[in-house]
Amino acid sequence: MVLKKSSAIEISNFSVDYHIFKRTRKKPLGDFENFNALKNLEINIREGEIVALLGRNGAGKSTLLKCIAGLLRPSKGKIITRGRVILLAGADPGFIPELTGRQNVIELALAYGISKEEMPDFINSIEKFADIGEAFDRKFLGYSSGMRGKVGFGFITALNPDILLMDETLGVGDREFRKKASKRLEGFIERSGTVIISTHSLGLAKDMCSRGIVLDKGIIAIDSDAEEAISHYINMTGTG
Amino acid sequence: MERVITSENCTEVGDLSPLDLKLDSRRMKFILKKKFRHLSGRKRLGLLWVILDPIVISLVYLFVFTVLRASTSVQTVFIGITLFRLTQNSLKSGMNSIQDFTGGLKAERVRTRVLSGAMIRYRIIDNSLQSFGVALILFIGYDMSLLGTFSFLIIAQIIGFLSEGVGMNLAPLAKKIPDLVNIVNYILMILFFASPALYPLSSTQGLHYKLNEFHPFTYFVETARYLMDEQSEILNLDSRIFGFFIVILLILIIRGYTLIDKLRWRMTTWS
Repeated sequence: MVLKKSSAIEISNFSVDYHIFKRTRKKPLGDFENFNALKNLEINIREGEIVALLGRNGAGKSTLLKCIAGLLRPSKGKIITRGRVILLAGADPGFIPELTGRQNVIELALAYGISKEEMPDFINSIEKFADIGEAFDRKFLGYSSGMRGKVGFGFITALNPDILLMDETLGVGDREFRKKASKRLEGFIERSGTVIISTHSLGLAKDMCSRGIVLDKGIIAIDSDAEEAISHYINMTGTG
Repeated sequence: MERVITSENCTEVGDLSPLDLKLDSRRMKFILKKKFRHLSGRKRLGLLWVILDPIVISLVYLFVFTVLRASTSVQTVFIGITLFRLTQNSLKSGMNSIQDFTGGLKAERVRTRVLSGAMIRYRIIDNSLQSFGVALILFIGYDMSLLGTFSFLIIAQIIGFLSEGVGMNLAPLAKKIPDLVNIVNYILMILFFASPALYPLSSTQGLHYKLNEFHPFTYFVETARYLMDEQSEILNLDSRIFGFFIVILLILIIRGYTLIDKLRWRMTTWS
């Protein structure tokens, strides 16, 4: 008997408005203007699906991920998520500059639910991945952005979410790091139940995702299998 | 864990497991530590500055009064300035309460109970630190009674929480109209000199006295001075007005903590 997989994320009739302060000649004291970032989205993502979220800059990809993570309020509609949701946007889970890399990892690990028994392995995994040598025991304040990215990416990808939301994360670090990061990411995606990857990398979307959603100006342009969505995106942007 | 996200709120369905509660408690500790770390930063004396601040400010004003040959007692200035600074800091902290949505944990949503819990703990510790140094000076250096010193510490806690409550109610307005922060700063500056922070209420007269009767701070600072056997007008003030202020301030703090989740949620899309 084949079990029907239940929904991990249900998005219904979903819209998001930003209220942006604007000063104009007519209104010299300024006023808030509504910007409609997402309009009436209907998406259902099943447990275990790996979805590529494609679209131009400003299409609403990051807004949608933040909403699913529970960090942004919709103006209309509903999202239901089942399981622990982690948003991998940039590579900073909340580092404290005054602490060393190791101290940061320990403090944040506790706050992200890593038990004391799991801690040594957790720290080792990040230290090994980041590969920044003795700098791991230096204050974070003096880290380069690349070093911060390595520790941050290592940290977030060592967590165990049920739903993983990724927002253009592989942009950090040098070529060598990106190679290493994409390998670690594969492991992370395998461990996570459901994944949404917002990316401009069509190769990544093709290799890893079974489904693709293209957003254009806040609405769904296409929601189908990854290959079809990628072709649609290529036609839409004229990047073929 | 099922989470429902709507325009009204972001809620989790069902009861929290013991593991969730443990995680929340760890997160509260993390946020609290982060806040105090931010306060101490790279300062050599670190958190000691929180204790020293009201003492140093009081000493500065004592010096000013000595130059002006005013007859304000040391104890009066210490009590007034410490309580006023607590009022000021707590009010500002309340006005900033909806800015911090994650508590510094950027990769995952943090439950509001964690943020509120961390806020309450921070307020208790901050109130204690800000009043402790002065209480010690008054107890040891000026032979204050133990009961008086203890009452001062309690009043410091009460005034800290009530002021934060007022700030929390102003927070959404301050987010929409940031000019309010400037206005509040100016009002606080006027109140610092006009209210009985630097001098006892008994040294004011006429309209100045009358206006102070309608300022809640007057009642708290004069009560503290009375309990510490200092010059105080509290017995001559209308207790009904004091009662009215307490009720209003209690309503505001309850409203603030009850609505913080909703207010914070609403403000996420305002920029």
